[in-house]
Amino acid sequence: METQRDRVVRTVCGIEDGVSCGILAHVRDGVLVKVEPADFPDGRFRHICARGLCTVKLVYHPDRLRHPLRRVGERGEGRWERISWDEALETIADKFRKIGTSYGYESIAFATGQVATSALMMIYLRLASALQATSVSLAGFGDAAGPCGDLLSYGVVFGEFYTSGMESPRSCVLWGANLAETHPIRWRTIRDARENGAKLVVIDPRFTTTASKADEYISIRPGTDAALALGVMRVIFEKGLEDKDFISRYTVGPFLVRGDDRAFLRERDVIPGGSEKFMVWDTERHSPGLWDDPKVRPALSGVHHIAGIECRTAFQSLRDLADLYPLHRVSEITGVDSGTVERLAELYAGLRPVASYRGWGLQRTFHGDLSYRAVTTLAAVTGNIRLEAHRGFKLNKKAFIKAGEGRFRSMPIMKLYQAVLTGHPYPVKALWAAAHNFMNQNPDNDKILKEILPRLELIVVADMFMNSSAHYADIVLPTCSFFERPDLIPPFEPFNPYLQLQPKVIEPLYESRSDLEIVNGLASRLGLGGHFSRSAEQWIELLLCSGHPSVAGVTLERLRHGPVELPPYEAPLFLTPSGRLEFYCESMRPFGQELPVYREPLEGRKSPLAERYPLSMLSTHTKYRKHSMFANVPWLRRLDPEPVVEMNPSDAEARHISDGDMVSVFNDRGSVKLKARPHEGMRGTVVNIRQGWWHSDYREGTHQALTHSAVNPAQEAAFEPNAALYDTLVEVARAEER
Amino acid sequence: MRVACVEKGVYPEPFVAFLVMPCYHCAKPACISACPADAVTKRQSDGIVVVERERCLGKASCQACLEACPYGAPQFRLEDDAKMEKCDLCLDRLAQGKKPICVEACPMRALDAGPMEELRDRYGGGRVAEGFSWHEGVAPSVIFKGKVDERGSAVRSIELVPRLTC
Repeated sequence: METQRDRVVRTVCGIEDGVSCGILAHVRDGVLVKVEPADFPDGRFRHICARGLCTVKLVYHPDRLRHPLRRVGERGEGRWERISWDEALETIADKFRKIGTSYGYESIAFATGQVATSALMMIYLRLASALQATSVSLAGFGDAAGPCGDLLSYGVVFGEFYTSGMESPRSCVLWGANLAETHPIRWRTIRDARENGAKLVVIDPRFTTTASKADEYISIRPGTDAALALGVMRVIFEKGLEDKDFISRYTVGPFLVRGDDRAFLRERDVIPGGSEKFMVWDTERHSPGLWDDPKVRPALSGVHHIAGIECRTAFQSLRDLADLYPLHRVSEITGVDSGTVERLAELYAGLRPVASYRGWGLQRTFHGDLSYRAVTTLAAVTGNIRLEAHRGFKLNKKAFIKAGEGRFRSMPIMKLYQAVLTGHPYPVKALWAAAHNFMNQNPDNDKILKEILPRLELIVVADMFMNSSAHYADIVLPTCSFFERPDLIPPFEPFNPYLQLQPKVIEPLYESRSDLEIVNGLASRLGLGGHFSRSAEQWIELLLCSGHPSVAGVTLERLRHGPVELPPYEAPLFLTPSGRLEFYCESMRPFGQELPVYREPLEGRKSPLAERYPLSMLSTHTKYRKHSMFANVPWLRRLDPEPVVEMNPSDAEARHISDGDMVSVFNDRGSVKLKARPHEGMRGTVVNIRQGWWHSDYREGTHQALTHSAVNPAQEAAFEPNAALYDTLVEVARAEER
Repeated sequence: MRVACVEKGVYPEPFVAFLVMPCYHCAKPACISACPADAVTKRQSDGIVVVERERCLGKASCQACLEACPYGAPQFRLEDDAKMEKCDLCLDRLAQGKKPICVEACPMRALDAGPMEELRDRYGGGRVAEGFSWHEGVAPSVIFKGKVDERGSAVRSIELVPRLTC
């Protein structure tokens, strides 16, 4: 019951972007009327974006789902009947039991978004573990390759902190990062640096808003960043400008690598019965020595014969690799001229510290992990790495997720395609999507529609709206917005260092329920209610009792008074197998990727497809949407009214396409119909459709019908395979001509 | 707030500059002398040009201020009887000692506001910006530290952003 007419509640913006801005929600007579930015102890984190300001419009959107729905027509036909929550949950529980009995409970898969940014969404993992079902990891629909690269380099999945987190950089190099548009918080750190005189260089195939603010804009062919980084390294090595001290002390550079099996040389390889310790070449004694022996002066370069094995240092191997990338070759691959490559080398070696920002887009070609690793390696060999431990925080996730003895099986989203299609490693027959719009955001849409959906016996979508995925569901469950339920919002370095409480601000609208409540209701119908009896606040309290120093002394009560910056604690600098920054990764030998080698994009200009489909398609992000969220908000639609394909005017002219013409973008996998928008901000042979539009926003098709679902086995081995959304060849033609 | 986008050049050397077009609170405002209803005044204390909307004759019958202003600052909403409205530098915020909301909100930190002498000390007295022309007749109270196109390429387009139609 409202006791006051007006209330202002501090909460957290629930857009899943890791930024988690604090917001003040103004409530009048129980109705949310506006939001504004809230203060933080460190004022730099006070922020709000256009989307955050529009969250009110999401809450009271006329299209919000009001009650559970059951499909009555064919899938996708759009015919529904209203059912009660009891009936919805009973129907799902029945179907789960049938599928569990016929195929095994692992055939039931939960694809849940927001688990990293809204802690209570992990309740689905608890349900999956209680059922011994499958939890689908969603990093791979665009954001798994960067983490794969960083896990190899630093031992943490998100190592952006190391390359860009330094105080007062003298230059900032943005690799495929349009931060001015997509990441206002991080852009602020660049503004700070710029106001202190730092130089800004932007490398991108598009002349973005960010590029328009740069001192130097470098146009690059998509997916070739690793070749550029290697070319820059070659110039640096040739001039002897590398930071030898940094490489020796903090990287695997001095470790000896065996010529025969390319593994690091261990003491046991040299001395029978020796340890697993890595070996280096001691320049004092001209003999192999232990890497951690303080008396040893390790060599950084060179080839040595030890116990009959030809060995070279990891740094020498890197130099040998970089030698394959002389200026003319780099220019030929990347489209970046030699002078620019040389200037970048001077900057990385001279205008230090250099903050290297690696955009999320950088990882969305087939070998995006190698692009990330190559930029990391360039930063490492020039000593442009922040030398502070990455302090993760640890909530008591295990107790929250684990229900009794049960364990869920984890499956990367890009492997789900195969599991449904082939039954390997096991068949998936039921898919539950929560905060995940798989039909909209996942690649190879026609394959999902024609081959995957028909093999699923049950599709449940829990969402606020009848989005592109709910449209194909059997049961649709109305969820409430983040204003209508409590949650715990973890910090996400380097975006936001605060742990925050997201209290319930208003009562759930219509019959909508929180995901926690939905899971509780289903669990009790499946006889698992005993594992799902706590309230949201009790779960939050449980999550805070991890005993980890990062959350020492943090209680629910403290969080009620405002955001809590987690206390610092001792942590190792790098969490790799060697404890050093690994630009040479033993585990990647089976793929020939122990070093950050350059690999052509899967659908690059050298692909046989390029003859028929000569244009590389990107599908970048905008400030108007967070994935498919906000595409239906009228305020934002006024600013960005409909999807367009951006292209260079010369590419448009060659196809007799003018501004605003209806065109078809197509390849062998599918097509999409929309308006063309030629402009001089696009590199030739590159086209862009800004992602997030719903199927219903396109005249026909969706841009995701053009993208592919090829799985990169190296990424699968290291972390999980990523959707190479920006590695897509297409052709564009005037719509009436196709 | 109206913002114009100025585009020049050809890829990979395009040039983009944004011109902010609020009310420039001119030293000699054309809107004041043009208004038949004396609805527009310039405050003695701080020089902010304000409109008394009750006095304004409205969109259907007048718009003399808009015709007179070389920068198109006076704005009318869609309705026929809409009264003139425009930037007042967030008078309510100034009264609380805060900067106008556009200054606080701009993620590019491209804007500032304050007494002209202070701004001149801080940013110089620039009168040149892409897409802007100085009109001595009204003497706008604005200074620019504008991005300059060193290549001097021809302007391809100046249009208000966001582009509301495709």
